[in-house]
Amino acid sequence: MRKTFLKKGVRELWAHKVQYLLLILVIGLGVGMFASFNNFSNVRWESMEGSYNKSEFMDTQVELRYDEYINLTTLDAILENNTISFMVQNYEYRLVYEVFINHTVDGEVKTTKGQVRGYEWFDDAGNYRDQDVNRPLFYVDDPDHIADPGARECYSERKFSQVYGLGSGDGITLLRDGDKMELKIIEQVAVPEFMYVVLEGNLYPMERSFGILALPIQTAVDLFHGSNGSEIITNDLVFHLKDSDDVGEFNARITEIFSEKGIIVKTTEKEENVPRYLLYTDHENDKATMAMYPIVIFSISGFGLVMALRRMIRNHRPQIGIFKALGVPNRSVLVYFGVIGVVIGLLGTGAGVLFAIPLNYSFNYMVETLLDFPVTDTSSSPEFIMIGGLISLTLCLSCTLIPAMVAMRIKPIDAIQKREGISKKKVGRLGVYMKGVRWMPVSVKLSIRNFLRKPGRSVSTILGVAMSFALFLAFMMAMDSMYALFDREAEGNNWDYEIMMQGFSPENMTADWSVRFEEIESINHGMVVPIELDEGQNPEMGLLYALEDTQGAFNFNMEKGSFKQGEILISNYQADEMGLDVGDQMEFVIPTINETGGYQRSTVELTISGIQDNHIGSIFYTDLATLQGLSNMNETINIVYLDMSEDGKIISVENGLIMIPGVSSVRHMDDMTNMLEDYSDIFMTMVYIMALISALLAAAIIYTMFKISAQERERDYATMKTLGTSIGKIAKLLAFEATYITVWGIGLGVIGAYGLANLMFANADEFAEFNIAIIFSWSGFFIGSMIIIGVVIIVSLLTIRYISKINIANVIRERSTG
Amino acid sequence: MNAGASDLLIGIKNMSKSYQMGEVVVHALKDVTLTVEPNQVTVILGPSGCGKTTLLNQIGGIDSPTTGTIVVNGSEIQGLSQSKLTKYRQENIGFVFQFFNLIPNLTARENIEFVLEYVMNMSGKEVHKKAEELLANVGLAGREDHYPYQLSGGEQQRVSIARALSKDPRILLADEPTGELDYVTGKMILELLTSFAEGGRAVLIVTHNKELAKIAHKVFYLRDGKVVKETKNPNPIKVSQLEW
Repeated sequence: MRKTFLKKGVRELWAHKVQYLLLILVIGLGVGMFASFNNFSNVRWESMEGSYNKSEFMDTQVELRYDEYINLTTLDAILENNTISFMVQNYEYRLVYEVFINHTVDGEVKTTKGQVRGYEWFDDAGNYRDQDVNRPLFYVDDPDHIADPGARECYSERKFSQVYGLGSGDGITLLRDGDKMELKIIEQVAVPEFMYVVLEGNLYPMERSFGILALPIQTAVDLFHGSNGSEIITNDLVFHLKDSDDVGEFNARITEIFSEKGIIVKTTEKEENVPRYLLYTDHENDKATMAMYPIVIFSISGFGLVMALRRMIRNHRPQIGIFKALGVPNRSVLVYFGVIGVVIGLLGTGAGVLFAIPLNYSFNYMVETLLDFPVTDTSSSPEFIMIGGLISLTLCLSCTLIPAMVAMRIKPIDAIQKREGISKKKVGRLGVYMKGVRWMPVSVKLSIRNFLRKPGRSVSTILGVAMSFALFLAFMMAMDSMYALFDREAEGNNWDYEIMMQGFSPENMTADWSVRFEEIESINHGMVVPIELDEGQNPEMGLLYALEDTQGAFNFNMEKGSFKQGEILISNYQADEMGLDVGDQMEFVIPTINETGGYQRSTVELTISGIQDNHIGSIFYTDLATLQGLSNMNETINIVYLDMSEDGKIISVENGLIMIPGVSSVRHMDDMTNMLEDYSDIFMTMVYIMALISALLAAAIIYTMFKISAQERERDYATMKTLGTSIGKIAKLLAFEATYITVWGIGLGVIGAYGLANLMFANADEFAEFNIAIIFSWSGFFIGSMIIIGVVIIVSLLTIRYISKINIANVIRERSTG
Repeated sequence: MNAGASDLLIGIKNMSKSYQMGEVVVHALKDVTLTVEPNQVTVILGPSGCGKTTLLNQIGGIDSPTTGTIVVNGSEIQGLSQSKLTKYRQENIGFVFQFFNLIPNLTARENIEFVLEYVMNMSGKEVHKKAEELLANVGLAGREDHYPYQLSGGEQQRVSIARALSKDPRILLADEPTGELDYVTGKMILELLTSFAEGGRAVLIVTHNKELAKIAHKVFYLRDGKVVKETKNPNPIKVSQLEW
């Protein structure tokens, strides 16, 4: 008898193949997404770890202050100090300084800011060696090496090279203090401290305006001194310690040893490296966000499976009753359902493998294109497919249990004696209320009551549609919100060029700019300083911008109050974080100049004049005179904003500005906005994937529910046809019901999308300080609605086809005599 | 099209119906020939499984014969397309089923309004008025807003008859109309059905109840898909005189 049930299970699957196929596809999608998302996280993690491990990434970095250097004799003396020497496993010394790089872009010479990093690449015997700590990494297996210790050759940072089309064999010219050096690019590399080129104080990667060049230290020293064969000096050290746990103590001791020699150093532990921190945090946040998708998809598929099997019970109720009357044990009934669960679970896992292939491909493309690690391990991990498969099998078997329990409780007499045409079904409370309604056409009433007849199922169908829609819309909203953030960055800034200084400079350094560059329309001097809002264990960090004409450079979106001279403007994020309001006094710590002319940190106080909701929550604004007064740095600036008479970038001006002593970087507004183009391909790929997922989910849930509903009402439809109702009229009835489901599904989907989008950003700590307003995506709404409506139309047409093929005679004759 | 005799409403000639069930061919109807005249009650009598309902389905245009011809109202219906058969049912046929087949989500009135609105393309107040009239005619005044589950079997069957009559068909086909009803209710239903057979209209009842033959003008005895006997009764008894 169990074999009979086994066969019946297989026949049931075949009889409703489209319905089960869709369920299998949805389960496959869940398995595929689970596997590919985890694989993506794994690939990303392994690639990051692989890159950092291969680079022998440091435990700590010790940097000398700007423009301070030591020779190797001094370095040896410091490192031989017995309070630290026993802690050191390996170390590397480098010479790091900034230069200008001349290279040709579209036939025009472009001058860019860059950084030379001189490494000890050759041992005493002149043999090429790899670095022991923070080894620059190549993107090719067998890279060309620099020819000799003083060769005029270099490795260039990968992204910078890509942005400007620089490749192996290309020549560049380095400029420093009037000296020039021609260099040939040998290979592209990743420099471990800049595995992802982010500089402190910047929101975005800076590869476009920040070229990092790795070259032999002797070559670096030659350019630094402007003469060949000069003494090797260093200003940057990286260490591997024997015990990484000693890093705090080591940093304190080495800082003290340097200090005893009158040298001030800055130490940076591995975890404090900004690009590394951003990469790892981003990875963790994405992992949490991505976990939501398989959960939602598995839930939908489980629900669909329960519904399909309950429909099966209804169809086979008399048969199950007869079998039970014949004495078939419950375990045989369980076999019946179990077979279906196992087959769907296994086929779902198979489909999952198929889905995982393109998904893995897309994600690997993202890793390779966006992150571009030197060590990229994109191999797929079969264990995620296996875990996904186990989840799918467990889910399918669990979901078969509920209908199996229902089937086991069927009383044979009830099942056998059922009379199909006689109405016993109640119509629900709303149906009772509606019966006296005269004005509504019967067709509308009927479709509403059909909809209300099984409220649980109708609501579940709507929720299924809503979830499918919400998944897509939330993704689109998150994307639009990020785009809006970028737009707000552009809108919030009302300048053409931002010129950053190296340290603080006198205001009058810009005195001749308008003469030298006739395109400059106005110059807006300013200062930007890091501030701390609380001197406790975890001070809130921020940047205070102060300009001559602060409102001329920045557009504020005021939430409260206004910008006032002599007072401070804070963000709504900080207002919430610190419990501050307009009129409150805000204490904060800023760098100031003391009486002896040295820097110190002082606590100052300003009245809050307003609260703004611009894009970044950690930025504060005041006027230049106020900040200069507070910091004792009168007539001093470190940032300049320019308005130009022409739109767009002016290369000649950029080249001129970057060469001005004291200028650190020149950024045009377009540099900020152009970066978005790099993301568009990835974005579109993800949109296609999400659209496919959404359509498949919607198709599975709507098809399952419509099919079940049509089967349950087969007799009603047959009766209608017998009475002479045309198929077009029946289609109209279905159209009403489909409309309710679509409208409600989309409506609830919008609410769900807001929830999901909030969850995405709420999960991400890195977004906490950004004022990311969740933007409603109209394009997402329309595309998502089109997908849902398209699916509903297709499913409705299939249902109509099913109804048109109903054999009226058979259905009507059921339980009839003759 | 082959026009039949002017006083002939249904003319079936040499009709057979076979089904393929797996490898077995089931001959449900074999060479059936019969006629139904207007203003008459015709009964098809036979035991369960003899093909009565199959025969009714062929006449009702919800199934098509394998061979033979069916002429209704002067037109052949076998071989018509689905849309033409729908129109045929709209214009000619009223069905009354053993199990009533009311739409469970509609009240008694709405079951009729559905046909008026959706099949007859009527609208507005006319629909409500006509539905109430029809229900009153079958003795269901005051029960209009009850759902089928709130009605007794007899009441459901009366709604079913009212629904069938709402199209004002020329032919009323009733499949075991009293099969699910008690004696008194059954007689009430038969009264309603037989009263329809006037004004050029006809009632065709299929049943296994031999007593019902007494109210018919014509009876066809069906056995194993074949018409084995035909009797005519120019003066059938009234339903009130019927007993079973």
